Amino acid sequence: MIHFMKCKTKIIILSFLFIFICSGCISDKEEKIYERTDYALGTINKIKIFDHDSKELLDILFERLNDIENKMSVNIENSEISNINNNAGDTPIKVSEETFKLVKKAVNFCELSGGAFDISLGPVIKLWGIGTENQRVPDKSEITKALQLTGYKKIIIDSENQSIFLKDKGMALDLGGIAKGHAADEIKRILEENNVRSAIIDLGGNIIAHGKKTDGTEWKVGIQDPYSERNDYLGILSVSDSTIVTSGAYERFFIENNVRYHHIFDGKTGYPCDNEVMSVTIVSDISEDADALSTACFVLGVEEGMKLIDSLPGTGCIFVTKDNKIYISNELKDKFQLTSGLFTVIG
Amino acid sequence: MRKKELILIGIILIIACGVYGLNIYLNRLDEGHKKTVNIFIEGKLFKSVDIDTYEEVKIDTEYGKNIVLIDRGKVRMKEASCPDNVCVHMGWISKTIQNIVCLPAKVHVEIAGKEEIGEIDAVAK
Amino acid sequence: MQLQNNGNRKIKKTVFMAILLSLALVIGYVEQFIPVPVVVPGVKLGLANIITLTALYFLNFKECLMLVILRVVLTGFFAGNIISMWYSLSGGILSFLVMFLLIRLFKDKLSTVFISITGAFFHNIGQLVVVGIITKSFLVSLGYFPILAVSAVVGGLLTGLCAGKIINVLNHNAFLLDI
Repeated sequence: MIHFMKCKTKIIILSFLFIFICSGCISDKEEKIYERTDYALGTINKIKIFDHDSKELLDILFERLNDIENKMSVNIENSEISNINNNAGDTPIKVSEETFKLVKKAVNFCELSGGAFDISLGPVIKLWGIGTENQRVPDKSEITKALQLTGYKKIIIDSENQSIFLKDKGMALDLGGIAKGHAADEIKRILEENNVRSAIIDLGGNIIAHGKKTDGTEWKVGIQDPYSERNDYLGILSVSDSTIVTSGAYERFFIENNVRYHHIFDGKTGYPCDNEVMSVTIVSDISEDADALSTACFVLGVEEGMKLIDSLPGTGCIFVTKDNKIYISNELKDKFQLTSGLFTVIG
Repeated sequence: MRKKELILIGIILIIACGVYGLNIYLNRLDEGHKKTVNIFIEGKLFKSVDIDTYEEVKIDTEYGKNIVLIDRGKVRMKEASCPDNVCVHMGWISKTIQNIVCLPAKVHVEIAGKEEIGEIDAVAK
Repeated sequence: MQLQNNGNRKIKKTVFMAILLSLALVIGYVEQFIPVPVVVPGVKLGLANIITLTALYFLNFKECLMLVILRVVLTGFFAGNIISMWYSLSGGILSFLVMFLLIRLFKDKLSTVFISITGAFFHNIGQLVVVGIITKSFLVSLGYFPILAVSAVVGGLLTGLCAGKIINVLNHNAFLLDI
């Protein structure tokens, strides 16, 4: 046998090999799912990221949620919203750009929905106390008194000073119908800034289906069956890059004398909204809109609600009525698949 | 193709069939639950229990008292000191997408494990 | 004249190995685009065994081993898929060793097709071992084994026939007479 290789060549080849062996030891990014569940905004939130592997990102996201809660919760004494409420009828309160923008947008939705969505129902919400230990059915007189302290038209927005002023003393804002939506949009913004293209987020039931699944298929989001256990669904929506928000009479309620009192109020009567709607689901690409619209459509009812949604491009809705019928807006018809035989899809 | 080659091919194919059969057998064994119940207090993992066992987990914190019951493939909140007992009324859960939450006590219970086929990614509520 | 002959031999060998290596690289490149019946990324058919087999009939152990390693490393480098390089390395070396032994022990008693099918079989075993290590689950490897075994038979048959033809032609070519 002829000694074929010179020492130099051997060394070169061996070093070549060495480099490649080392590269093999750096493991390929496994598909790791990064998820965390934690409390914020008064509810439980789950963030599941599929194509990004940093714990720091999850930290940032939950911090953002806490930050928003600190600014906007009525249950936190020093939040900006509490400040506005405490100074109702007295002084305008300058707020952060974030809060200002959100209140402004919320008021726009109040106008758009003719008051079906109303962020000034704070006094009514507090009076009934649904979801707290103090929940009760108040007297008619109490309700009338509280109603006098509501009305989105009495919210004075000063763009120059970035301040919000509530005209009458005793008025109170409650952003419960849009805060989660705002939080969801913030989460989406941060995900996009970090090049995340596949994530699913559940903020107390508000779903953000960000991008698509890692295999390229659309997310499958179930719609809660109003009559069944939590997480039982009556149908599935196939979506990508969408937000899905449901408002339902089954979420927070108490029953007294066989009557169900739930947490979605009719701003005209001061009572929980009592129409044919059991739940309404809004699908949109902006969570703030979906959040506000879900409350608005619930109060508006199927006919008016459907009209409103049809007038808004890129938004779809699914109504579930008390007689087990389902009404779907046109854009969602081929994205929705009914799975429960107890309901009928009307149109 | 002569005899030797055919014999070789035959042997390889027999081995392949054997392994195939082995796979089917092994997969049947693998069908078992292998799910764990994770109990969190204030967002931090408190205890992990195999869902296939029978165990009562007692939780006693400044936020409240709870008892989580794991019973061979399903979990429920047996008792809770919270006023409305919503968590108790949630009943049994057994799928990875379900969870039980007791907000006042800051307790939540999840099921982790192999995702079932056809399961959805989230439920809008 | 001994010296000159040795010089000639060396040059011829170098040229021969270079040709084999380039052919192996081209085959390796083209092979990427042939769909494989397995969902694991990076698993390949092992067509480059044609080259390994041919080399085994004309070159010694060290030279063939070097060819195998070089071809695997360079193909991995050009393809950009590091993981698949490990599959090829494992499969390539294992199949090389097995084929080398078979030829050493049974030269001329076994056809190239026979050796090639065996080589392909062990090439796949080598790949599956790496799959098992990477996925940390030999169950996964076992799962893919049956279908890869069948494809080894088919692939081995093909490469065996090709290699056989090539070796035939080379044997009758004066170029390699004194290697």
